[in-house]
Amino acid sequence: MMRHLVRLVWNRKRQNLLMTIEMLMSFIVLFVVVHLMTVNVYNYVRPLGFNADRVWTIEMTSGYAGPLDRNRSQTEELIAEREAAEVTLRQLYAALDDLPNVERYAATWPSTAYDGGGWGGKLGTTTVNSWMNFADDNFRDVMGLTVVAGRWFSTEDQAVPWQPIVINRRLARELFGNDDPLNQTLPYAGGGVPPMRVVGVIDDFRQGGEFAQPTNYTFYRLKSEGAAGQTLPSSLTIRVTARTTAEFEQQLVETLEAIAPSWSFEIKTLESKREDRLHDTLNPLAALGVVALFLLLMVVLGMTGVVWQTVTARFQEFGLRRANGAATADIRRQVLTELVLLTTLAVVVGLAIIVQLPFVSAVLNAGSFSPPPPFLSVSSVAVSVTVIYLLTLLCGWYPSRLATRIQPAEALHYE
Amino acid sequence: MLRHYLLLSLKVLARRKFFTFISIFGISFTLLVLMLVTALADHAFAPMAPETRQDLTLEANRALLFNDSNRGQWCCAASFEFFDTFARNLPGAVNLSIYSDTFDGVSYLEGRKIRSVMKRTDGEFWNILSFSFLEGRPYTAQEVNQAAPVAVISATTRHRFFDGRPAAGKTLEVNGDRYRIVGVVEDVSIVRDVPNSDIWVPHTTAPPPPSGSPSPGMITGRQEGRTLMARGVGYRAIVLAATRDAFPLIQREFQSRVSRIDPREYEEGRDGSLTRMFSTFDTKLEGFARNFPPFTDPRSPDPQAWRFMLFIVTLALLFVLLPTVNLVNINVSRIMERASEIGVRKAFGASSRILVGQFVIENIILTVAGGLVGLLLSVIVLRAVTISGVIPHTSLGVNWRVFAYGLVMAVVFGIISGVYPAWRMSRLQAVDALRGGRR
Repeated sequence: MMRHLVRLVWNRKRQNLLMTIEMLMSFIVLFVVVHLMTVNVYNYVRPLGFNADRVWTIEMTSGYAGPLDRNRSQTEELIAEREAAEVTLRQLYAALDDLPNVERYAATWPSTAYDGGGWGGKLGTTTVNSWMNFADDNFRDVMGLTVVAGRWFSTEDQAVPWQPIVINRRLARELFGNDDPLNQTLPYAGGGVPPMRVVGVIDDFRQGGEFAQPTNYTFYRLKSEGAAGQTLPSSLTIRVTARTTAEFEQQLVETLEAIAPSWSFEIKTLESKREDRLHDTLNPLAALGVVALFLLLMVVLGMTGVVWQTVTARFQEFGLRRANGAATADIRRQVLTELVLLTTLAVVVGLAIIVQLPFVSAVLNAGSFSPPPPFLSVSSVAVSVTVIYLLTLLCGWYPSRLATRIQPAEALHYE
Repeated sequence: MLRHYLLLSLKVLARRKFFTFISIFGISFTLLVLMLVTALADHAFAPMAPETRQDLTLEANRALLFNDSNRGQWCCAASFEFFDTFARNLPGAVNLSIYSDTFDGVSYLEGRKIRSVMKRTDGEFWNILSFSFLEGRPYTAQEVNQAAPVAVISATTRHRFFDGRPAAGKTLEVNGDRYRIVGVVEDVSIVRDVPNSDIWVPHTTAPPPPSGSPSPGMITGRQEGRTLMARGVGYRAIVLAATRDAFPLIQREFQSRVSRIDPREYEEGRDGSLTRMFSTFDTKLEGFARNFPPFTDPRSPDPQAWRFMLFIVTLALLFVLLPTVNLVNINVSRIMERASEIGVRKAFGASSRILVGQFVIENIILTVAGGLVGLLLSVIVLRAVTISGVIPHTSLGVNWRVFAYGLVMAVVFGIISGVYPAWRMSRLQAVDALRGGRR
């Protein structure tokens, strides 16, 4: 029976080739959309690693543009400028201490939560990529990070001959496998710099927010201002008290600006930064989804028409089968099975193309930190395959019913 | 003859309404998407107020510093001084304006937080661009020189701060600084990045360098306090040429001036690693193409905009591919339905070419009909996008240019999707065709 059907399909190869090409392209469109959705849903449901409640950020522009490292400020002018900035910073901290609405504050450089960009690269002499950030001793408490091994930075790290780092779980696994990551050291590529030492492991800090790819993350310790080899923070993260209202924002800006008139401060709640990020991700996805939906609707309507036409054209063939004793269900099954055969061909070719996609994206994102895990692609493929078969059967549903209505006598009359 | 074809095709379309609906649906939707993209591109790149003289202007939007091995680089925000020193008095240029990237301005008004987009400019900015003033006037070069705290605001800003009442002469506080409003202009679309802003202020009102040092960040080779790259908000330049013929002259001279710069004499070259600088004046489209490094080499004097255009065209073709195959598929099965008609025409001596012509024309009629439906839909959708305010201050619509693009797209679509089915049909043998087609 199957061989017979394959021959029937082969006999109408031109028309069927067009159908197969259309199914193939629909399958690829479907896969791309399903995959994007899957990856985003997967990212969305994963824990963020931090708690954004009542957290505000203050982005500061100090105007100081000299070297980050204090020891490399080679001129009197730069050193003076740097020291002035440090004094201002200490005054800002004192002002924050005095504000009753501020529970805690922490400093970071260069990124804070829900920042898209940042700083990343190979970690020391290893070949492992990681996002990096400087954060001070209070950052864990402000952001509510979960330390799963070791500890967060503290004053213990003030005078040690190494650079203390805290890494996320994902990075610990990648660097050390099942070994204990605590107190492992990682040398820098250049000479003359103390090695890094892991003092703690956090669950995660997904800087980019809900839709960011899970990635490796490393925190360096931002020492108190004025320490050697130390950058100035670019943003402050504060946790405000539960009763704080939006009006406090103005008071906060005015307080800070009174202390440092030449600096600029921009205050945002993490909630508003979060909304911006969600919109940035969801708007293009929604547009893509609508376009893909219409494309598929068009394909379903078009293919229904084509199958309908085919069934009408094969009036006599089906009539003859009926006259030879085939049941209406058999006719129906034949129409649908032929369609399924074509779909299978399209899916096989489509899979052959999709298998190249990870390769293509690997070439395109050479150096990308975190490609999506492979099981996502597998589940996307499974969903797309299921949907494409359902769509095909949907296209064949009404025309195949038409085929069953053919009266043998009427059909044979034509011959 | 053409009238005959037309009547015939209308009859055919009316006969199988389901098929006609499917075809029109697919065509109109496909063209709708293409028209939306075209309308957006037109809105972003076509000359329109305030950039009415866009065909005579060139933009320099970024500067890059490189090291010898061409690997390390510092991108992209240049300082005011950079353009001030190297972009003035270019041969063939009539006027030059230096203006900043946009940045956030925050104001607190009676407990409300208002976020505005700000831009710092020089006085010439108002001469090169033709803003339409609802109130007052632009600030003058003299006011800019004196660092007068004056501002021009947009209609939306006036609405936010003053409930739409006349604002000229009033003051407004933003980022802790007070400005006197001298003029109010119509809103500018966020897509037009040269003029776009809510509040425009003189570049001289930028906060002074900290700690009173005249040349902050400078290490070697005193260049009168000038830095190449911006320390905060970056600057851009726009040059107005006498004629388009002067473009190459302007571009060559600017590039040769920039190529002679040694960054090591400035703060940016402090460790001696960055040795060369690069910046160019481009047309709007070329400048945009430079933002896509996979297609254009950021250091190439030629912006290679064609590579970017090729990419866009390929993308559009890929998008059209599925609807095309869909339409071809439908057409093939419809044409086979008309096999007996074809058989009669063939038997009476119609050549294949005439038949192909007839069916392609029929198909073009179909796609143009679909195109008109698509046009109608895009007018509605664009109106909805404008009203929804997804893209701030942007009034999108279908103008004659976009309409013409749409019509051309519909015809091309019709030809592409009509030729193959027509060719298939024309190859039918008259005998088979008379019998109702070979199966």
